[in-house]
Order: sequence, then C-alpha cells, then structure tokens
Amino acid sequence: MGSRRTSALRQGLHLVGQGFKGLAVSPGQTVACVLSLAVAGCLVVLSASFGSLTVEVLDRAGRSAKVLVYLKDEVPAERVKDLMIRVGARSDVEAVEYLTREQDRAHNADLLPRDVAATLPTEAVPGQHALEVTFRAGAGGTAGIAALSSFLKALEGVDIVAEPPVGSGRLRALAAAVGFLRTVLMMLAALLLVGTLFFVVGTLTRTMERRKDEMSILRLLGATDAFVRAPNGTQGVLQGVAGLALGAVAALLVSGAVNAWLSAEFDVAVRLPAWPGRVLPLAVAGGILLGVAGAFIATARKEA
Amino acid sequence: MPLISLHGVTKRYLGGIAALTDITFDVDEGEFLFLSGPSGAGKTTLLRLLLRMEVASQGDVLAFGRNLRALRRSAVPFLRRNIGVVFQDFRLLPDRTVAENVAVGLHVLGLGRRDIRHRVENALFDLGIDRYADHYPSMLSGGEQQRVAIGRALVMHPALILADEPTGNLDWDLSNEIVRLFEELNAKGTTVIMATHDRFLLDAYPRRTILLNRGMLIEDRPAPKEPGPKDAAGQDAARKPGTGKATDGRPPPSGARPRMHDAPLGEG
Repeated sequence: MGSRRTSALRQGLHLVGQGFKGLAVSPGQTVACVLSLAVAGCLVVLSASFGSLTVEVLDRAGRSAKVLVYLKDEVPAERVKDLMIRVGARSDVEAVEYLTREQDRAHNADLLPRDVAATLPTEAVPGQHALEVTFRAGAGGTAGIAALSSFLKALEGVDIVAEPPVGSGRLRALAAAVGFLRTVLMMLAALLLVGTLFFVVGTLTRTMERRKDEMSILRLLGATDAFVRAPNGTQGVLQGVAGLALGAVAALLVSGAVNAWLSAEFDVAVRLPAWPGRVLPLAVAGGILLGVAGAFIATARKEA
Repeated sequence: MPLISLHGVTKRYLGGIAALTDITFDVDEGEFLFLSGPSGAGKTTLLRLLLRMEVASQGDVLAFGRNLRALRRSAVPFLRRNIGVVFQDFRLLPDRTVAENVAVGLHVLGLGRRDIRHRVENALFDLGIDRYADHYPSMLSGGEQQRVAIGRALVMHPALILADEPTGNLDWDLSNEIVRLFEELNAKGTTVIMATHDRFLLDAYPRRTILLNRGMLIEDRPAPKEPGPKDAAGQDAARKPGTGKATDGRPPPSGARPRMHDAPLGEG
C-alpha cells in the first residue's frame, strides 16, 4: 500500500516535471499566453473594484443625503415644531433638525472662499431658518429623495426645498460614468479571458504536437490515458495560475497607486477596493480552472 | 496453455478491406516466432491486434489468458506493460539522450530514480551501448539506435517482445546482430515474435515461421529440431567476419559481467 503510494507520488512528481518542461516547448507563445492572462486577470480585478467603488459612492451619498427645507420668515415656533413632527414621522426620514438663521448663515459662509468670507460683513451672508431633514440610508435612492422633496414642498410655511447633491445631475452622471466604465471593463475582461483560454489551448496543442511521438511511445509502453494527459493539465494549470496571479498582483499595485493619487490630488475619502486577502487565492483557483479547461479542450481537439 | 492464441481472427478496415482473414495459431511461452510475408500481408496488423491497438472484427485474440476483444480500454495499458515493442524506424525521442530514451517507460511504472538508473545501466551494458548513455539518437548509427529501442523494451522486463521489421533499415551484419540479441533474450525465457520479410534472415535463423499473404495464413512452418544462426550462404552467421566478440570465442573483459551481445557496433 505504502509502496503504491510512493510510486504514485513519484509518478506525480515526474508529471509535474513534464508540465514544467512543456512550458519551454514554445517559450514565446507561453510568455504571450501568461501576459495576456495577466492583463485579463488585472482587468477583472480592476473592473470589480470600480463596480464596488460605484456602489460605495452611491451608498455614502445616500447616507449623507440631507434636504434643507427653508421656511418662510413669518412661520412661528409652534408651526416649526408641528412641521418637525410631521416630517419626522415619515419612514424614509432618519432625523429632522432645526437650523436658526445664524446657523444657516455660518453654514453658507463656510461655502465661500475664506478670503472672500473674511472681507464680508456678517449680515452680507444670507441666512434663513430651516429644517435639515436627513434621509434614511437605502430608503429608495434618488427616486425616494425626489418623493420626499415633493412632500416637503407641499407643506404650508415652506419657502424653498434644496435637494441634496445625490439627487443632482452631476452625481448621477458620475455614478453612471463609473458604472459604464465598470461594464466596459467587465466585458473586455470577459472577452480577454475567453481569448486567453484559446491562447492556453493553442500553447497546449503545440506542446502536444511536439510530444506526439512521446505520447504514442508512452501508450505502447503501458501508460494510462491519465499519465499521458497529465503533463498537459499541469502545463495548463501552471500557465493559468502564473498569468492570473501576475494579473492580480498588478491589479493590487494599480489600485494602490490610484488610491494614493486620489488621496493626494482630491483628498477624498473614497478608496478603490482591491481585496488583497481574496484576490490572490481567487486568481490561483481561477488559474487552475482555466488550465484544466484549456487542457481538456486541447486534448479533446487533438484526440478527436 | 499458450501465451498467445488466435482463433479465426479476421480484421476488416473501413470499407470492408480485409487485412487479416480467419487466422488461427498459438504461440507458447518462450517461443521465438517469425511472422513473414510480403508487404501488405498483414504482419503489422497482426502485431497491432496483439498490442490491442486494433480490435479483431471477428474471432478471438487471447494474450496472457485474456481475450483482447473483451478487454476494457482501461485495462489495455496494463496488458502493454507485459509487451516490449520494437519498430523498424526505432521511434526514439530525438531530444532525449540514450539513457533517457531507455528510461522513458520506467516512469510509467512509477519506479524510483535509483531503480530507474540501475535498470537503464544494466540494459545499456547488456546491449553494449553503455558508453553512449549521454549521446543523442542522432549521434548513433542505425544499429546502435535499434539497440537503444530494444533497451527501451527490455528495461520493462516484458514477457513478450513484438518486433515489427526491426532489421528493415539495417544492413546484413547489423541485422544479424539484432536477431542474435532477440535470440539471447529468447534464451532467457522471453517470448519473441518478429515480423520480417527478409528471406535471408529466415534462412539464416531457422525458427518457427508463420507465413502470411494477403491477410491469410499460408503456412505455419515449425522450427527445426536444433536451430542455429546461418548466414545467407548457409554458413554459421557467427563465423562471418566482423560480426562480434561474443560469438568469436573471446571471453568478456576480466571481472566484467558478460554482455548480452558484446559485438563492436557497425556504422549502419
């Protein structure tokens, strides 16, 4: 039993060695195959990162969405309390706060360039008492905010309803652009992966052509189908794992660089996620799958 | 019980072309058998049936007590591990050294590196080509290449050797050397079936001969009582000038294990 296991282990090691040798059969094609796999793998990770970033941006925007409801000057305090109760009772509202004229003025002064604000008299900056309504996160997105705005505009004593940035065309355009980029990248990555699968198949087919005589001799000497085919599988897996792992590492480096750039140039809190803990194991698993699929197709094509 | 039995074996290829028709004969363990006949007689087809590279259209092919027609595909490799095959065109791997070519089948058996080296060294020594272990096939003569091919078959310790025109690419002297190698293997108990259309060889080595023509068994000529190598002129092939040390009466080097065939290799 032990001897059989040792024998199987020796055979396994021999076949892995043969798989490595197969990589050298057509080195140019092997390198091209690994590089194209790396590019495809990198694009897959980056497109997933961009997709995730889109979701995060929208989520953050939703969480910080606030509607400012400017009240007419003559609205008395009792009426303000009544309005706060009515608005706060809505299921899509997280909180309602009252802003005095001074608080609103200070808020507006913050929006002005500091040197301009410093030269202006306090009264020159407009201020109006208002209600700051915080939208409940995930309560319907931009359509929900639009519905809330309509409700607020219809209330008696309300002067102006200022929609939050998430409802603005700019943010929606940004989200759409990021989403579009993600879709394009995903499609490119998928196409490239299909292409690289055939690249893997092509490389393996070439190796099999070179090994044709050896394979026929091995069969005559009593090699099983598995023994004859295993080096192709090993070669495919080695190519797949090397290519996708390289792509994953490249994607991690690119996302790190993008994050550093975002931080330095825009000082924004959003970061391109890269999931370093998951990407490499997934790349290895994907490489194994791709290699096995490539070897299967190449063998089926050659033996058909 | 014979090692090989063929009963009414017919092999037809696509289009109904019959390569073999109603072939029946037995081969006992330890026998040396020539398969002879002109090109297209069906010699190679018969060998392919024995290797289970083809399946008989009719009749039964029994080898090692197993009916090859009923043999499962997964069992074929294990059948072949008992059979050594030698071809006319040697079929050596050009990018492997002599030692690597001989060792190629031993990896199939899952042997350890030490066992492989030991078996290969022994085989190369027995065949008188140990000094070429690190050479590539293209650096060897035809006769040397055929010895490497025989070594590749030998290291597997087969019970049966099938040789398909192994002397077809060799001159007379080298052909003699190769047949004598098979005789020596046969003397050690290995069953040998050798396909050849060389009538001079058949005359020089009178052994049991199955004569085929157009796929039919024409004659099953039994071996004479005391077979011995004869050359084309009916003389003892061993006395032919330049055919080898082992047969010229000189002993092998002092302290050395006698080689299977210690003849100087021709340039083929």
